[in-house]
Amino acid sequence: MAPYTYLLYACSGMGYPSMAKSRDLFPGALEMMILRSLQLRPMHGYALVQHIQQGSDELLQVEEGSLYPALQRMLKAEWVVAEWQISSTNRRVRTYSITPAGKKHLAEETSRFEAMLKGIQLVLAH
Amino acid sequence: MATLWSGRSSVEELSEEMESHILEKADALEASGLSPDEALRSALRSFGNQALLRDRSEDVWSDTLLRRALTCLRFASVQLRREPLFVGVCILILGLGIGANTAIFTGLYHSAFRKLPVSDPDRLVFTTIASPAVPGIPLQLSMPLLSGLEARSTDLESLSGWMHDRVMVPDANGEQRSLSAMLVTVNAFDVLGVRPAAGRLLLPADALHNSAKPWPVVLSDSYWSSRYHRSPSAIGEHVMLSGHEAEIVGVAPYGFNGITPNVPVEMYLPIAFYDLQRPTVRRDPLREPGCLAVTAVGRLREGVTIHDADLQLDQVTRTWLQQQMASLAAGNSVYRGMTMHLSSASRGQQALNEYRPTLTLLQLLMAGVLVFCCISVAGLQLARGLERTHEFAVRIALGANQGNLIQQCMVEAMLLAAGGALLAVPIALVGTQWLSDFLTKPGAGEMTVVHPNWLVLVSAVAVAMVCTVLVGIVPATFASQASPAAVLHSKSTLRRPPSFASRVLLITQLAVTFLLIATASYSWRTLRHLSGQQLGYNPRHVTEVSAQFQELDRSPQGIMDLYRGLLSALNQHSGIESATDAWITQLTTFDPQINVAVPGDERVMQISFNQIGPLYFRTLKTRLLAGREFAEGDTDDDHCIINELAARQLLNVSATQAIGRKIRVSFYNELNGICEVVGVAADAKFADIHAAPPPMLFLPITAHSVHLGGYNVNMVFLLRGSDEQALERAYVEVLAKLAPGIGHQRFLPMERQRNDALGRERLLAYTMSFFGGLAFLICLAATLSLLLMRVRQSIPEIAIRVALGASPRQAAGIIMREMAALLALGIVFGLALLGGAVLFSTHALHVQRPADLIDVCGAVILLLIVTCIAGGVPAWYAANLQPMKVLCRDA
Repeated sequence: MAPYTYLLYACSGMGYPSMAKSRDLFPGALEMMILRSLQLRPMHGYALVQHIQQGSDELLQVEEGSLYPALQRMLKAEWVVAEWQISSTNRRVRTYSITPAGKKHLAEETSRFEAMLKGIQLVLAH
Repeated sequence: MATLWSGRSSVEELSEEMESHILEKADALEASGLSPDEALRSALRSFGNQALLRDRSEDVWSDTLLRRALTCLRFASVQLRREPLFVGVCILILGLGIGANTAIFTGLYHSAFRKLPVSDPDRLVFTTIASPAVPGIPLQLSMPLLSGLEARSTDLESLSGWMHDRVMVPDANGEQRSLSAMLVTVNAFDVLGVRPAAGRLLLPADALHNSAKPWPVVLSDSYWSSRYHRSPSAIGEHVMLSGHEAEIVGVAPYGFNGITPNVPVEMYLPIAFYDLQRPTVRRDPLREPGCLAVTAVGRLREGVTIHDADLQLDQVTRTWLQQQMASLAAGNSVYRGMTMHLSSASRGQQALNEYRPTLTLLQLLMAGVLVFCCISVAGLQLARGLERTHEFAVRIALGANQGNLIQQCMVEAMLLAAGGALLAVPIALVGTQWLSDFLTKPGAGEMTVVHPNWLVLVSAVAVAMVCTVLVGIVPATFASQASPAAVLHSKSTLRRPPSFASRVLLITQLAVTFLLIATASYSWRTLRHLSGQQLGYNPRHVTEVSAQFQELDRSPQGIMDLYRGLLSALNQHSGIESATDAWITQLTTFDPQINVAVPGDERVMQISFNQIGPLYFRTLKTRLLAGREFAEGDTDDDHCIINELAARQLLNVSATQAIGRKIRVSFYNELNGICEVVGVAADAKFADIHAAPPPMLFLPITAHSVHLGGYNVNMVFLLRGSDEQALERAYVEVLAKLAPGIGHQRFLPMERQRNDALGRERLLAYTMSFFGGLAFLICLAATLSLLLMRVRQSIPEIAIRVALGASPRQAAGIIMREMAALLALGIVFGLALLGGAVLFSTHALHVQRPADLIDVCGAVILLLIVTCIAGGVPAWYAANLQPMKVLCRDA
């Protein structure tokens, strides 16, 4: 399979069945999806996985192996903050919320992604 | 209750977060129909390795570069810990190389480069007087001349006067100690631009001293430390100096020793204190223009060169100076035609000038030693690197690239160099202290002060580190080029051995070892020759000591009576075999010349001259060939003693025939007369141990000579006795009885004075022997390692030869032939290096016979021993190879 085909799958939000690993997403895709999810409401780790999975119609599988380092990166960059809360199942969970810096970053990344996607689509259309 | 958390997650928090994630997922799976156990197992399985995830999450927060460096460092130390012998030898070699270079360059720096630790030292100048009667000897000034010069318009911005002296100070036990002091004009510190470490320095008001006030005294930092433990309360304390009350007003800065940077000075007093130190009967440099005893240190105006200022000074002062000296010039030729000159004082009065060529030679050799150390470490690293070929191959097979291996080797090399640098610090400290001992001026009685130069230590560390690291990465470079599969499969060493590099290392090692051994051999022969030759006197069991009789307010005759009284008491004391006194002691390089002639003969000779007391020749065990020693009754200049050489050259007679002959003597018009020869002594070395015994004339110490001795001359007592401590006790006891309250300087064994006179030779001999021996051992170890390495590389080749019918002797011959070739090349290269050293010794040190065939032969024999031992082991190994086993293994 040619590289651009894989890229297309990844960029269009579709998981690629045989290579469904988060590292196969383009750099920054996971962070973008986490920020977008958190923009809707604060979530804990498991809820984020579920939200992305269901939101992508089960096409994208977010592995925990990628989620937690990504969350730590985002905490370090101050795009998100975390606080301990009690979940609906009465369990202590760590809930993440998006910060203004995170919102700004999401807007920039979304805009850049859309421009890139448009460019790729134009190339593929010829 | 939720806790606000926005920073870095702790390990516990990450664990809890992951745990709750897994449980949430298990709940969801359970809700979808799985049993609780299955749901939990499935959730755990899909989550993956929690520890790994925690590590990755932690890594986000850690500095990757630092973490990698730390990991690398940890790994390198683990690797090095596995080979303590290799590490120990490398660190020892590097530590010695760096430490020795630091110590020797410290000496060289002090003798050749170090400037006074004062403000803008390049503008400081000595003002001296030149006299045609004593060419090449700069004379000092007197205070009247200094004041007159200050009043004249010259390029000197300011001018100060310095006089070295000794003062008596009670120690903690109340005993009087004679300490080194500088008597200075009150502007001395301002001229030099020095600031106090505590309190204040001398002020203009201190020049106007009155008896109601104590004398202001400024302590040196070292005396403040040793006597007052740097206590600020010492400032303002009153002390008795030579019986006069003084007040400590301040402390000079650390490292400041006035204008004598390597000679310790304990305190600074106004120059007017001199009046109290001297009775009026002596010559007075504060008032007599012709008493030239004040060192004048001035500061040039900004932008003026010494050359221009010197020309201007000569123009301005020539007529004035000759007018000032006119009355004296009639009676003494020294005062005729005097001119004033300037010379740089940026380095002060250097006590170490004469050691400069020796230290330069040593520094060159030490630089060679440092290179040798780096080469040896390189050889050891190379051998070790090749031993690790399999390790490198495994790492390459596991994914390491060339960069990883080089980085690893570099870190290991840096650790070795850092270890060497750490060891170098104590070696440099001990080495510098040891060096000070050799740099002591003969007869000075004071230890030369040198401190380690840290800048040099850093430079030497940098050089060693660069060399070690550069060579350390060579094995990794070779290893990364090899195919790991081939290396691991064959179980043998590299296929592309760095044979050229190892050959060059071996040849250089052999050459430097040759040079060091040959130089050490030469140095020892010279030292043995000089110390074993006949001095003409026996310095064993003779102790020198002086007392400060000039402190006593007595007439010259009174002091003369005291000398005689002391000698009489000392000679009667049970602890003393014999005692005498003299003006000049042996081997101090001070060699005054006296004009002598036979009455009626116009021919005038200049010969060495000394003034001595009774029993001089007996005390020194110099043979008296004819006549007698001076007796107590010889209290005028009518009698003299000469040595055999003087009898032959001046009187042209034998020793016996010289007795009763008359000699006309003249010493700067101050000693003039005719004396009768009452004794002839055997020839003996006098001022310079390197020179042949000179013709000599001895005059008795008299009241006249005490008077002429001027303001600062004390006779030195020479005491013979086998028990040095008994001698010292006896002297102190007699002194306390006859001249209570008089301090004495420290006791100095005459043998020590001889050793000091041989300082250059001893320094060279000891240093070169140490490093020659060390080089021998290092060369042996390094050559052995490299040869073994090369034998291992050649195992298949040797095995094939043996399999094809070569005998064990022929197999061993391969190694020995190679070693012989390397030895020959090493000796040729070493001879070239020795040639360079000989050239330098001849030109810079004026050594007539810098190396002999015996030194070369000795070095060659020792290197042959190295070859036999270092080549023998691998040769034996080669001779005992079992070819089939080797070839089957490598197949």
